[in-house]
Amino acid sequence: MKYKSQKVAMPYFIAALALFLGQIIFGLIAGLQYLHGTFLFPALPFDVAHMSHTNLLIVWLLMAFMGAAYFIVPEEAETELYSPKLALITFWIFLVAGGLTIAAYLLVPYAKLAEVTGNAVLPTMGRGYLEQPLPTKIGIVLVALSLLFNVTMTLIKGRKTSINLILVGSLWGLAILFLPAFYFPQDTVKASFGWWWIVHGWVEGDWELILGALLGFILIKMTGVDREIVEKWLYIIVAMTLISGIIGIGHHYYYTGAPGYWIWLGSIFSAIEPIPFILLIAFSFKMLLQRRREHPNSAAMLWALGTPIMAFLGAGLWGFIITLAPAQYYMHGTNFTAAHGHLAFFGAYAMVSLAIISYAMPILRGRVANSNSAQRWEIIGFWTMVLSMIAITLALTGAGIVTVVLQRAADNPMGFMQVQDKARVFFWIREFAGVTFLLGLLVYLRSFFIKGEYMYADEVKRALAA
Amino acid sequence: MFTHTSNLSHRIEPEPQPLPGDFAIWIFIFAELLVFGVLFAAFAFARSAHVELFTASQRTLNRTAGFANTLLLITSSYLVVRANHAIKTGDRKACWHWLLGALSLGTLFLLFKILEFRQDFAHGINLSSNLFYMFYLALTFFHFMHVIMGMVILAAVAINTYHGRYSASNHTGVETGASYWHMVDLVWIILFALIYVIH
Amino acid sequence: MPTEKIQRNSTGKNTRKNTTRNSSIAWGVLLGLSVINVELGALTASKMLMIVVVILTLLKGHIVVNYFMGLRHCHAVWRWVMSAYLVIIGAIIAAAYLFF
Repeated sequence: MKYKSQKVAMPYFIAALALFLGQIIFGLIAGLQYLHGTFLFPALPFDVAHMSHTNLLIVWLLMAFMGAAYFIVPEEAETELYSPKLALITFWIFLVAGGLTIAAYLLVPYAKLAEVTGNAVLPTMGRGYLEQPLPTKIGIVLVALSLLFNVTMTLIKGRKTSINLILVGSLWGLAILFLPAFYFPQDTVKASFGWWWIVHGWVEGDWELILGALLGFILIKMTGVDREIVEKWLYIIVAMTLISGIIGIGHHYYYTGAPGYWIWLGSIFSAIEPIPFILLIAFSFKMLLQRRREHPNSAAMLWALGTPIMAFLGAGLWGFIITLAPAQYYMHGTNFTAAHGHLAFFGAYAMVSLAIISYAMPILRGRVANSNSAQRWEIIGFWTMVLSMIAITLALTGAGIVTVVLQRAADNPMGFMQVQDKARVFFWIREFAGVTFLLGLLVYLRSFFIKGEYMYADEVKRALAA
Repeated sequence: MFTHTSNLSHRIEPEPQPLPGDFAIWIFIFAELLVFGVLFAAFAFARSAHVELFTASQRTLNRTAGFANTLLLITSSYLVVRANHAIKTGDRKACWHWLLGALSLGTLFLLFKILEFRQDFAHGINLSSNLFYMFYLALTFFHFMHVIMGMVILAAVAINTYHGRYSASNHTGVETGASYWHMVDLVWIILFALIYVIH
Repeated sequence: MPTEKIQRNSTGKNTRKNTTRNSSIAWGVLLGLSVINVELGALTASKMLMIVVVILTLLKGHIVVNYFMGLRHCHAVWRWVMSAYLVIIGAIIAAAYLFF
């Protein structure tokens, strides 16, 4: 660890992983409720399980990004973090607020929660991913401002590299793009229109830039490739992301009451959105091939290479399948969307978060890399989660096909619940894959508790003996 | 890089040069050409399903304004070429003047386009009027934004030229800005033909 | 003002003046082709006319690429990329107009 203040990243990373575990548990509950609708009803109905699952996802990813920022910005800026104390205080505020919010979801009926948290003053509750009560939303803004202040002050006093400029810049973007959460008009067309500024703006724009910066940082450190080469790649990836993603938001506006020209603009520009993901694959593998060293943290390298591939599959490929207007006409809001959403979120953002954690955690704990046996556990966890997520995606795709064939494209469409019934086998497969995913996550978490660091001497001995 | 020989029976080919300017701008240029290309193709295919609508709507366009803009951009591009030649010989003053000329013509382009847009809106034409007008407005507006971008780059280059930051041996910035401006010109040439002319 | 460096090509020709002259000619040709295109466009539509306009437009593009962007002095691959772009766009446009 080059700078002492980088240590504040550790609580963020630990909380991120704990919340990730929570996310998966709620996911399994919700998945089971697809098959047994009254499972845990009325104590924990589906909507509560669902929003706990999605909100925990967002919060753990934000925790991971913040931890990544506190680890990366000081190192890139070559100076200590402006205020480690502020970072720690912010961490506890974020964690407690997040915990209270989930507890509120679980313990208080949603309408009552809205009433007691002042939703009547400024209505913000009720939309997907934005179910948080107003105080939580304000808290998120304050936490974000605290992060931005801290890393920006650090950046100002230190070295400005492409990585930390892109990272800090996109964190500003993340915060600004959250502001539409406070804009909730009565008109559902307008409400939906603005909602996508956050969701699309984040995951198909701003967060891709964060992903690029994180991946770039990891690859510079692990391969030793010239910084300038990495920077050139990143600029191209950033450019293609913005060129395709800004007007590409239109692919959410085809059938939601927005003007018809979005059918054309959204289709054309969103069709280009896979390109940055293709570039990310090319970039990371080029760095691998041009590497000047064999970094002992093989697990982190695996995450760094697996991320662009899974991100391309989930965001690029599965996304492309549903993006063109004529295709989306049939697939809009089906399990095709769920399949894409799961593989994209995991492949891009969960995996890049796990990649930075994989790289940084050993360093935060005082070593270059974990022991071989710890890495082995981590790698098994990697493959189990990756393969499970692919299975989840395929299962949901199957369910999506059932919906399109029987309900959307059929001459005599079947009713929704009837079609859900027909898709049961796919929901079972999904749930089973979800269980194996959880097992993979547990194996992955176990790797953190295996003692020992990477033993260079052993490696040399083994190499000489061979 | 060009070899000189007085013996004409033995031709030595000049060494091929790398793309002018910073290579990163060329990635950007190719990306922009790709996006505009897709838009052009989409226009062509959309038209094939609504030929009469497109032909009728096209006739309402101000072809004179479009033609004037074509001449402005082509000439502006030419002035940028001259600016590049000037700096290659170290003539900073001439380069600066050529760039000013290019920027002036670019400004006129924007002005004419704005007047044209105002006329369109006055006639009640907007993105939702019909499919042709949607493409016409989206494409020309999109191009308009790129003209602005190109002018910002050229302005930065011009300022640098004025302050003597380029020389005969170091003028990558000029070539970079010039390349992007030529792309803007190239896109307009195709756009004008496709949207205003061909029917 | 530093003295102008005279660059000569393989046949001994002064390429600096050459290049300026070439780009001036290119400019003139571009203006001329633009006028022709607009005049042709004012005529009644026909498939042949459309193809001619497309070809002239591609020719204009080709001139910008080679003489303004200066790609004729660069590695052949870039010229091929740009030519391919122009040809493909032209073909798509022509196809959409002719066959659909």
